[in-house]
Amino acid sequence: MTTTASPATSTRPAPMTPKGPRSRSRGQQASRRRLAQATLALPAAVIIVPLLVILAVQGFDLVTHNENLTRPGSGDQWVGFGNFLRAFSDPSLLASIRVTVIYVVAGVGLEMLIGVSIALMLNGRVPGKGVLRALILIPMVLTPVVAGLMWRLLLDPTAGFVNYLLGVIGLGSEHAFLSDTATALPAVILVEIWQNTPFVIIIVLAALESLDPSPREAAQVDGVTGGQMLRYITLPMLAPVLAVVLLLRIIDAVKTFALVTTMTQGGPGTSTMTISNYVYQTGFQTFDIGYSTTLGLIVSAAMLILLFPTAGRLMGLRTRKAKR
Amino acid sequence: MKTAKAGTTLRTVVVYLFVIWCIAPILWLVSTSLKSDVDAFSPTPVWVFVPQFQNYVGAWLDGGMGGSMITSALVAIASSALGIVAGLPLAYLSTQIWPAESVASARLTLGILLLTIVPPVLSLTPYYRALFDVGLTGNAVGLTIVHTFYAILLAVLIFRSFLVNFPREVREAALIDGLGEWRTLASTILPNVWGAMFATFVLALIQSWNEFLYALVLTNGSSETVPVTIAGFLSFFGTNWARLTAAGVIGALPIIIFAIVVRKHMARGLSFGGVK
Amino acid sequence: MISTARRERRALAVVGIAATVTFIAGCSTDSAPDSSSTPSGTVRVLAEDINYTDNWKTLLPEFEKETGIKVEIDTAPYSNLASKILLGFSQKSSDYDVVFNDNTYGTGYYQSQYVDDLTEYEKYGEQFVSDDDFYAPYLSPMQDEDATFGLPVYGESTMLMYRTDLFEQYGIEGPPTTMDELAEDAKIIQEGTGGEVAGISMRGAPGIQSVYPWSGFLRAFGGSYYDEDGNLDVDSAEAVEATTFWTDLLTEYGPSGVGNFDWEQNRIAFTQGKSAMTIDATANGPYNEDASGSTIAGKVGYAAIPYDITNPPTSGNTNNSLNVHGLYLSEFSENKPAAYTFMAWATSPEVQANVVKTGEGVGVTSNEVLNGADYADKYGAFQSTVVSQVETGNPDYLPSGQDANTIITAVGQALSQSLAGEEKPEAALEQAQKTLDQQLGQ
Repeated sequence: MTTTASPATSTRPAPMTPKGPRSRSRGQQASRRRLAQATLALPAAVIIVPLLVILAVQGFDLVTHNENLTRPGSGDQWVGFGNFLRAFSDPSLLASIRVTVIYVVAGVGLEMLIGVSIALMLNGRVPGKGVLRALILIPMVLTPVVAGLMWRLLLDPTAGFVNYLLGVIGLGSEHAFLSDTATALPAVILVEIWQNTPFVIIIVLAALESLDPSPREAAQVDGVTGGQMLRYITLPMLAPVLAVVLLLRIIDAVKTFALVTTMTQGGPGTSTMTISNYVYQTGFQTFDIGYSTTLGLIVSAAMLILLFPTAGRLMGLRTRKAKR
Repeated sequence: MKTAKAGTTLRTVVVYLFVIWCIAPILWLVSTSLKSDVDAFSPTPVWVFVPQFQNYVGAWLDGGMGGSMITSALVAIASSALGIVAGLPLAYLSTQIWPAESVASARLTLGILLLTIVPPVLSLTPYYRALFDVGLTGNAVGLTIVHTFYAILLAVLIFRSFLVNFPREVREAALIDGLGEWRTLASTILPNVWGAMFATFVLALIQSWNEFLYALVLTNGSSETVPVTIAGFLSFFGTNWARLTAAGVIGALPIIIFAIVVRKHMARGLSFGGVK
Repeated sequence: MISTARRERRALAVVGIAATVTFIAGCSTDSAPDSSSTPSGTVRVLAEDINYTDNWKTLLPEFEKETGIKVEIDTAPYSNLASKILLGFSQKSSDYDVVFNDNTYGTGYYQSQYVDDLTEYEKYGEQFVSDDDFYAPYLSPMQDEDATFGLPVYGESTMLMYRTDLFEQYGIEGPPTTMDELAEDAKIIQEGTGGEVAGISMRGAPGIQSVYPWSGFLRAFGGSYYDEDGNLDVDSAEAVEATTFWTDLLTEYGPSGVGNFDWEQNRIAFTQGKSAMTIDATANGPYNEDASGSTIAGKVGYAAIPYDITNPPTSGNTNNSLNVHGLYLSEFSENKPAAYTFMAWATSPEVQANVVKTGEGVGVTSNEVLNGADYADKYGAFQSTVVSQVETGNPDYLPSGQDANTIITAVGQALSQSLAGEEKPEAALEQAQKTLDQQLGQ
């Protein structure tokens, strides 16, 4: 004798959106469900909420006082907006923003260009594609600290391999890339590109492979050239993915820290001092932690404001009710 | 036909050159790590040499790589696992339970995304102070908490992209059958998101392993993670480059092998649903 | 290493003293409850990652056996050490009882009352060391009026090192005694070797790296960090002159990449024969003479650093440094007697002798060791220069105290900008002065 597999429940369908209780039992069930739903957010909230609260409370405390670690008691000195005023007339901050902007624009720009190109090429018939895809993962997952140190050695004026190669080709072999203001930042950007172009390639390649082939087949029948295909079919189809990749790379590049720390320490002069490195220096080398936190806050706010609208749109999120 | 073939050849050559550019520095790193200090620093590259495995031994024992590898592994695995445990329900909530395409859901996702924009330098001192007050600095626990935070952010974004198109009827059917939300999650959603879970785990693991700034500040001698130990070889008083490169190889190898093994899952996770 | 007889004698001495101390403490009418008349427990140390620390680690078992005190030594890379220590102090952390750092920070620690005056703890370390065991110039940066707040582990000064063989080859008689001669000699060798060997190299990397040797140039031109009223004056006329000279010297006669040189790179440039002269720490001596790594062993001369002003001081504002790294006792330590016992042992003549014997110990601070046979054996080539430079070393060579690091960072950045050609020396220093005025609220 078979019994029904599902336990006997009422034939009431589950409410799509919890409405007010029409009867006590339904209300109870609804609120119990809402409770259960709330608990879904609980594990995440347990970690996220305290950390955000700490950031807000401690952050506020640090930002409004003039604490310097070498001076006990300086943390009790209220300065209100003083730190912010100081930041706005700080030439080093502006310089670091400039450096970071160049870093992001040049680095991410070239990553996208090179990455998309290579991905397009890899999409065709290339022998050993599988192996190649595995190999290009390597720069991407390498610890930035190791990448920075490795390239620092490679670019060394006396013992570096790069200089040796250049010498063999005849371009001179004693270039001190990291101590010349003209080449230090490009060198760091080079490593950024080396590390992160594979990221672009992997995603774009995966996207290319999952593209609907029919538009391209139709175009081929119509006899379009490679260039036209690229411009009018492939790239537009890739646009959403490219936008996401671009956004992710920008977010990541703005936070850059480890490469500069291991390669140039912000020098020579201030030519490679990025925002994160400057904020770190203020906090952990001159121990001006109140000011350092203020700088971090200003920069975060600026980035949020700049990226907020774009991010939303790129991810296809509507944060306001759509107007019909 | 000839141009097509020439095109293919050109393409292949370019791609191979690119891959060589990607790999060559690593090979050089490995070869340097096997040289003695004198050979490593000689102006003309030394092509033939006797492998000095003691660099590796030295880096592992004296340099502390052994200990920090274990710490890094523990922190990475713990924070990634916790990230999934916390992130999946939240993603489930915002994509399956809340009304489809709701403003709340979009806001949550955007909020999570924006949290990833905030540079770590901002939160260094506040977190250090708070964790210090409860005694969680100087060991790996404080760092694990911070890494879990970032793992959750990653998890929510990845799971969201997978779940946003998951048919809602499945959940509704489970609810009709009388299952609670958690049971529904476990029995209907879970079996279908192993791919996403794996992708999240992989990416969170790599993210944690390579993380430098928080580890630098929140850990101490015996609880250091790999990037901190490697950076520590750069001493004011004389860098032991042979050991440093060996340590670099040791620290990078597990992640490289791991990444290659799980590469298929990485692509799906990395694009947060930009790629179906 | 230490003979059994000596060990027995020392053990007897320890027992004897311990007994006496206990006896006296017991009889004393001082009502302080002496629960730690024999120090015990665990001591935690945060130390530099350097061979002196390794030396302690090797000898620790002996210490623990002798005193029953357990010691845990943690190290941090030098670049993070200061911030780690300060973060701990600012939180009043009792995580570490003893910290190991140099006097630039040490004076600041004492000013901020992060570390203790050691006078009241001296009795816990009598068996190991007392103040007059130390070479006086090394101890003085750790003293303030009657208080001693640190025990010196190793110290150094700066000196001029030059290639005697190249000087002979190009007919230069003896080391330069004025700045003009320095530039002249650099030029002769640079041009004489067709650029193969750079005239001179020094550290150029931003921060303490470049500031350290440059501070000598500041004084060589008669300048100082502060003016007569005690105000910070990094853009003084002398500072500008010194920086201009320093920049030109390195730009014209320095090796390529000098703008990035840290201590190690500069040292390697010299020991691999890439430059004919260098001005850097006395600690470089052993590396120059170590034939296994240096290509110029036996061909190096050592001298005082030249001046530009016509009446250079022999003490006071001299152009060579006095940099001492020492052990400090944390104010927040919960086991100060035992901590001091460790500190005393760590800086005792026997322990210091071991460093010289088994490794690199040119900077030891114990009189006995400095005048000993081992030291003369190993470091004879430059011993006299080291000793005389330390003797005339300028304790105020670098800004010290709470603001030290801020000043060094700002000046270091100005130097780097100047050397890189980003700014003219005057403009760079003026900017540094402005930044410092703002940061230090003057």
